[in-house]
Amino acid sequence: MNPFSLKDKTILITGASSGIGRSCSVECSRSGADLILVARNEEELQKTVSLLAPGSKAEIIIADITNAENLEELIAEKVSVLGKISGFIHCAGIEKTLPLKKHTPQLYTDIFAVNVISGFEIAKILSLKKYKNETSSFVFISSVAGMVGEIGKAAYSASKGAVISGARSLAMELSRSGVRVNSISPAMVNTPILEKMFENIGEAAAEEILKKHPLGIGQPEDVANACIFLLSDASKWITGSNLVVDGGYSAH
Amino acid sequence: MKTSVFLEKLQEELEEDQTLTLDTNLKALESYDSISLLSVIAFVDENFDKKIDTKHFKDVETVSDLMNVIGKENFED
Repeated sequence: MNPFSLKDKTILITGASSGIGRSCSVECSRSGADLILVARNEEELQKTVSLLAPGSKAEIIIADITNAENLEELIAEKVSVLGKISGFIHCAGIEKTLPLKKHTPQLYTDIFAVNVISGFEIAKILSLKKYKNETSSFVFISSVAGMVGEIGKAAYSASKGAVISGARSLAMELSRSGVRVNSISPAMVNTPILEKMFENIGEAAAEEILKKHPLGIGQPEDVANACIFLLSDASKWITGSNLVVDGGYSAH
Repeated sequence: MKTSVFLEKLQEELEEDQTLTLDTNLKALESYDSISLLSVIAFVDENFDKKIDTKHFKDVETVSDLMNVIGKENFED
């Protein structure tokens, strides 16, 4: 069997209503996975569902993952339909480019709530025996901003650095349960978040950022394919790693 | 907002030593750089509850230009 296949695996994906999350959903379905897709925006999430490979099974959860008390129940319900979970991708994330002097405690709190805490809380649920398959793989979408400095990104890069280091500790803790945990650090990817950021920072600054990518801006499927690798059995000896998918951004 | 108050606040925002006037060229200020643009946008949002698109900043040179982008109706002498 193709070691890169996701056949017979049920994968839960947060942030599935747009950008990298949507692309991960589509590419995972093409690789044979069944999906539990989580997002706040039902309309956009349904659009993702309409893009999935024909024949793939998908269940959706409409929830604000930063503030959902019954998330475990909702997940349990979907597991009873699709079967136990073999993989998780935490794509939900928010980005804010703002000078340090405009950062507020609320901004740090809001960004960490989505980018870090909700992901680890869902990992907590999915690491329970009753919801997980014998082996499972968790993938957290971090960012190169979690590794290298960028202007105006104090809160964002702190949150993405937290994702990388937290994922490493999860890898240590969950290896005994057969769960591998890795993160992926993309640079600029052509998504709605990027468009919004470019609008915010202006053309000149956007141009500067583009220049720093030897292979240009990435496409969402470039990240999705890396996720598939980390979710599949092809990466069964890889845990606690941070896979840099950045078109060469951090190479210099 | 009174124009004089706006000038003072903007000067403080940019941490500029020089007193600003309507004719001051923002982009020529010593303190002005790429991050200043983000500061000014956040400053306008805070003080005028108005989100300015960076595209509108392309042609902003002077303080007076900035006030035009914010909207003259928001200022009094």
